[in-house]
Amino acid sequence: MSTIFNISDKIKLQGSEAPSLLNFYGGAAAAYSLRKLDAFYSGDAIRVRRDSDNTEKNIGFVNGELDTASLLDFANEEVLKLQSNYSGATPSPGAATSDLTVSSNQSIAGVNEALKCTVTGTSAPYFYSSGIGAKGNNIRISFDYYIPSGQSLDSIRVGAGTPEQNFTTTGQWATATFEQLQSYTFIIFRANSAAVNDEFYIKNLTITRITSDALVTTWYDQSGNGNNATQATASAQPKIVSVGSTILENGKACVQWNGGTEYLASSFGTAYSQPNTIFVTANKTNHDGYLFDGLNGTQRHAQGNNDWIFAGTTLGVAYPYSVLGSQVLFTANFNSVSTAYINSNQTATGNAGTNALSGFHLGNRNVPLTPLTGNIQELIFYPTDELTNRTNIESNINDFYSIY
Amino acid sequence: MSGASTNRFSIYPDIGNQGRNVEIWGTQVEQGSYPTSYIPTYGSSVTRSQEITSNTYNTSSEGTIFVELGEQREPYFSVLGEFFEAAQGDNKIAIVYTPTSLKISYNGSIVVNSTGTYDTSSLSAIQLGHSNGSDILGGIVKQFTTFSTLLTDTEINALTV
Repeated sequence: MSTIFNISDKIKLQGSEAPSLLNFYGGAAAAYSLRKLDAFYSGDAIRVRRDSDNTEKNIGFVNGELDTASLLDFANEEVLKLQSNYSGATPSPGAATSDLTVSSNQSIAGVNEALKCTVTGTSAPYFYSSGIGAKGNNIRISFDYYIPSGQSLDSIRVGAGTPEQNFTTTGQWATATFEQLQSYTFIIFRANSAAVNDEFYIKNLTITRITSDALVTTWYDQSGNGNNATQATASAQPKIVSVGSTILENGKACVQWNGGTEYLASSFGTAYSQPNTIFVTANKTNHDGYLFDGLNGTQRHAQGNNDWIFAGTTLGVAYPYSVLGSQVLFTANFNSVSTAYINSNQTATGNAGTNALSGFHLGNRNVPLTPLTGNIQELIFYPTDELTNRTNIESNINDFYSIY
Repeated sequence: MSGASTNRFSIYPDIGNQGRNVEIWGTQVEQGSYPTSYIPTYGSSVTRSQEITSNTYNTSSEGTIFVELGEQREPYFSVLGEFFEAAQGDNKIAIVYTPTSLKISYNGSIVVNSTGTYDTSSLSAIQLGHSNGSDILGGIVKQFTTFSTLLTDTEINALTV
């Protein structure tokens, strides 16, 4: 954004990005989205934590949408998980064995400080080392190995997941490097075709994570009110990158709840009495969890673990079962006569109660024990009756997300 | 100085005044096609803040503003809540404003013609290329003119064509 001129902070000619929803329909008290909702918003979209090393980073926008390139660059930055040291009396990492023994700080073929593995039985000779981090993402494994020639043992099989890889060079040191999806919590080295007293040597074992999950710690409020939705507890953070890829809904990034303990919380610092209007772009895969709720039991605006909305009284069939598993635009107007809409079509009208709203639990109940299974891409809260603007706001949202 | 092959320049005393001192101060060497203002360094290198322009000037609560821009790079312009698409490079914009109406001519055509409530009272301070020192313009303001009258459509289109 740049200013060409500014006359007394009243008439400003400014250069900007393309206008978005809040430039046309302002007044939101909270606005969470993975697209830029205000051409003049200069903050970030989200703050994420990558699970490879728990480092956090803010992710902004590019051309009005979440900067997924930066998101993935960050999430998939290579992180060292294990580096061996076989120079001491005991190997690091330690090795659990079967039908073989390991001995650290050994020399062979002109190389010192190697781990020597000697076969003691032929049933299932192997050793494995733990401490390589959580499974579920891609890792790069590299190590040097030496298999003496002239023995029954002709290869080793190595892996931290399936399939394990065979390495067959004998009589000289060789370097092995491969990548795989980590499905074990350990790395295993197996001796193939081994006889008792056969041996092999390992050195310079290195394991790095090359993909990661990224979890949302903060969903920034674009309304200008600072009502950011946050979650400091790692296990309760919803996900936006899974195994190194951005999670998508209908081709655009989404924040995913897995029905665990996830939620994001925002507190407004004030309680907004009705009328209030909420626009949510989401996909509930079942009705077991809450799409949103208030912060406490007396200030609730909820779409809960069924088809209803609630602000003190249940108003049913607002979010019909028939749309479960589909991306929808869900609109709820909480008023003396409340109304709900799916994809701009009214689904419910009547008494939903008179609660005010002082903050959100996104993707969970006010007592956060009923998490969403599904995803949210955008939630905008107007502390006003937006029925007059409803169809225009819904069209703006639908134009971007192509929901219906 | 152009085409210099070394990173120095030299000044010599007049040969007819040998024995006199040559005193030099305030020397500033810049890379570029035109000089900028003096940058005091006080013995060490400094980074100078971008220059900003402000003036105190009473502007009427209804009137016309004309501005010509060069090297413009933003995709949209906005004023008083109205947006219109912008072209890269040179742009001419005329804004006719009252407390209840807004009309904008952009590069020869009316692109905004709206009514509403606009706070155009107490217009007393003009800042060019920035907003209170922030959001600094990356391009050039070639012309900036205020008129205390409401120019006609024909006039503003003629200004911006």
